[in-house]
Amino acid sequence: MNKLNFLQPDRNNFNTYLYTGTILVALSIFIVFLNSFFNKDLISFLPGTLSFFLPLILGFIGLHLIRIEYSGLKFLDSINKNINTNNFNAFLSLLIVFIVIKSLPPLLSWFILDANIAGDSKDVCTGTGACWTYIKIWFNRFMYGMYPNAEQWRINLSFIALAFLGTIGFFATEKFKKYLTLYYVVIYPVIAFFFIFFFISGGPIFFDFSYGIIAAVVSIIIGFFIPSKFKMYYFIVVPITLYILLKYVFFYEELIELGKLEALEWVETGAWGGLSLTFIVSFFV
Amino acid sequence: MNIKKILPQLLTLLVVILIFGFFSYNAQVNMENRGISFGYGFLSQESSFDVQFSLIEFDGSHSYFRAYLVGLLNTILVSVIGIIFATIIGVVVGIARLSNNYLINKTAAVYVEFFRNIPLLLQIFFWYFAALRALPLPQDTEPMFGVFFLTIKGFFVPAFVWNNLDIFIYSVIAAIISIIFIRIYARKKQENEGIQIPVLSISIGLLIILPLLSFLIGGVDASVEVPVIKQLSQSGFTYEGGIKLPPELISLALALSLYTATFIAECVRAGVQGVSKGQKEAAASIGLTPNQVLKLVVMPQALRIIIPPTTNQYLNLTKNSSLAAAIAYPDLVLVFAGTALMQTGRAIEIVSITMLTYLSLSISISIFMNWYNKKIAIKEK
Repeated sequence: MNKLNFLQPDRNNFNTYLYTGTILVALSIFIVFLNSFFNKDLISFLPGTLSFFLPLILGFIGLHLIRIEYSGLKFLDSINKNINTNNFNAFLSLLIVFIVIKSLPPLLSWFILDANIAGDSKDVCTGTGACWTYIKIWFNRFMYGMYPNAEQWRINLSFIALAFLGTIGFFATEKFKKYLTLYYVVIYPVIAFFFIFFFISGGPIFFDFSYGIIAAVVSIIIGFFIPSKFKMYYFIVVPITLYILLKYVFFYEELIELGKLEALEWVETGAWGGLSLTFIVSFFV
Repeated sequence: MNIKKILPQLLTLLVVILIFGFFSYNAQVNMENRGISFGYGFLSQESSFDVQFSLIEFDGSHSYFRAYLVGLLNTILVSVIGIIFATIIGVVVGIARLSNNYLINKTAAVYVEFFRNIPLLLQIFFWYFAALRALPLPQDTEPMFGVFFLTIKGFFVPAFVWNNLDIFIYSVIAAIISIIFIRIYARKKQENEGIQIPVLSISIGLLIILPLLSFLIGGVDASVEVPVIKQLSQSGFTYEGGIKLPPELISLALALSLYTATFIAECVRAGVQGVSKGQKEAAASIGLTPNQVLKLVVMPQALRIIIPPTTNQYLNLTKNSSLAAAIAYPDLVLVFAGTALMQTGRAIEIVSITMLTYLSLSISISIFMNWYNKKIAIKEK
């Protein structure tokens, strides 16, 4: 009776099943591979529907034949455990493998083989593939918008400096870890604001908005030392007073004069754009 | 002590009232200065613009109110299509991500990470400008299964031509109502006497037999109208007959459902993984079959985790459908808050109506989903 069990491999007839199954699976993958990469149809002599489904059927039978609980072969066991647990899974795995093989050649040819990257004008793009030349020429515009080419190092430097300042926390010693919250909540945004707005735009460091920031930061830091009984009145009164004082009494013209970055050229915010603007917006919102 | 509690609230209230007062006063003064009147009378005026795609009959001679209806129906159409497909894809992909099969698992993961990390607007652009523009012209199109034509001008599908459609619809409704009654009866019977009635097979039978009876006795008759190619000019072709789905609708529905499905898939995964393994093992140990474990133990507990975040995704999808304006799909925003607003210049009225419409759409979805959530929630005592 045991010999009749020809659909399930066991220890006795293991090798036969393994070889037959492997050959079937390899054959099915080979057929699809030839068909998709070299446009050769090995089984075109069969009727249409059958030749379309034959690789699937062959692979399915092959996977069924090599499905064994434990074989001792590492590769076979991992296949059986991961993609060949039952008929349904085997079918889906085959389908995914075939779809990947089928879709590789068009993607490859579009992205690499038929694509153009040489030259420096759009006219060289004659093929059916991607036109990387276009991307290459316009790369700066995609990254920086209308920002003047000569000044783009400012954006780069800002982002590098920000990334550097941001990663400092990872290398801080235990001793400084307790101050890191203060750094990330209060100081780092101010530095980031400074870099992104004033360094990139090249405008005055202080303007109307900065009074608000200074007032807020100063009053928050002092607020830690105010007894909780008075805290509410303190936070209602002090920041507003501070803001008004800063703006209208202490320094008005002075701060603006002081904060001007003389060496840097002023770049209108309208000229900002591209990916760098996306980063700036997502940083602050 | 008391004043400490009241003072901030009074201040906040004062600020809010001041802001609203300032804006309404400002609007009033400016509108008076420019001679703009306020009122909803313009809704009955003749609209004198045309809409590319509408579910109800519409041309320039109809009123602005009808333009509003056209936009609303189009928005609802794309939202409903999007919600249905997003749910189907989301559930399938969410379950696929839990598969033991390495390939299926990773494919689903790649799909989720790919589509949820690209902005929706870009995806809409991709489907509309890159994918659907690459389709063949109507005269070069190979039909799919002989009747579907996927062309650059849209997707042409055959339409059903009905006689006595109302009788058919009544028969379907009657079948559904009787199924509900049978379900109630079966549950009562099982609770009282422990006898199980095969509800599923009875329901399927009813759903087939009653509409079939309407064909045989009720005089219902349906024929299929296949789109046929027609020459408009020297090189201009189109299809006549059948139903035309414009490329805008297809790309919008495709992008919305593929994008939202990724989030729903994660909700489904969270829900199923949220049911502890011990529950399944315990259910299996008392002798339930895998199907029963899924139906009686896993799903009821998974659904209460799945539904609330999925409601969020449905709301997101409905509101994201306003991105239709980018590819000129005539939805509420494009038709009413776009064209009608440009023509009449009644910004406050039109924008308020549009906002209220989206608000009520979203609230009705969320009321429905809350009701459903309450219904399936596990009653804890």
